Amino acid sequence: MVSLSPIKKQIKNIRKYLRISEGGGLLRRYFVMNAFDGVLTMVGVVMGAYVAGVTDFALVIAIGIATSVAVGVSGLWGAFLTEAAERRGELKSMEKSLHRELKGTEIEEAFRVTTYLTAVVFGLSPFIAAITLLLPFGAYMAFPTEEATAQEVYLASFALAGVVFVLLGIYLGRISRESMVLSALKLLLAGVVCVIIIMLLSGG
Amino acid sequence: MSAILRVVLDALLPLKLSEVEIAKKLADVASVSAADVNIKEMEKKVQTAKITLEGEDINMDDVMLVLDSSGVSVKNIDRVSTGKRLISG
Repeated sequence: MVSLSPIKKQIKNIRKYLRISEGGGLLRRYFVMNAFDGVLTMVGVVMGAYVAGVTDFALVIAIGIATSVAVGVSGLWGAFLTEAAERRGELKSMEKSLHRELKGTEIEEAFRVTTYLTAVVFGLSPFIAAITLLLPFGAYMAFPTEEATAQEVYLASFALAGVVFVLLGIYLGRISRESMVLSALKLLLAGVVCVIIIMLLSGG
Repeated sequence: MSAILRVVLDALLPLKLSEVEIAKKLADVASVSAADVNIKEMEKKVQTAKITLEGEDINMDDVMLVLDSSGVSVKNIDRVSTGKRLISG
């Protein structure tokens, strides 16, 4: 056997565990779905601030960070609870078929690692995706300039949302081996629909 | 005590486990020189397998430890060959 560095070994182990638990596909799917959730939620927050005419960006950032944390914790908690329950049930049914306990086995370890990994991915993906949209506001506050108007900062945030939608769409397209452009457009459409509904509701 | 040269086990393997990996792990046991995992039947969640191991002096504790930690369930030890040489057939 070739000796592997500890990190490489860990990655190899995680790959093996994901294969045993068949969790790889699940992680990919929900990574996209939760990131999408995060961006769309933040589009709502930023759009709300925009139509309300908020120019105090510290306020937008504070509300934005709180929202990002909330979607992150929601993803993490929800995933952990549902995944842990699902895996426990699966393990029990396997134990029944095998006529033995699976405590301390590779299978139990694989299910455990997958549960934690799922929770981390489900929590981090919406958090990171959501907080990305606050970057223009943070940048404007850190480096105040006369040249950028408040409206332009909002536009930059929406443009970033568009970029995240496109990136997620490209990734989805790669998973499904379909047109990346088409799948990017599908996600982008959701953002546009969200913006239009908020505009209509606010009478703008 | 005389050495175990060959052992044949009747085992249940979880479907999620790769039989290739189990066979490799068994062959990695120091006292095992050859391992053979023969899948007999596949069910919904498990597959039954005939596991044959050969060696100069097989350490059954090591073998059982590998099987146990992998999640394999040994139903029965079907055949054990001991002594100075294998009886053919």
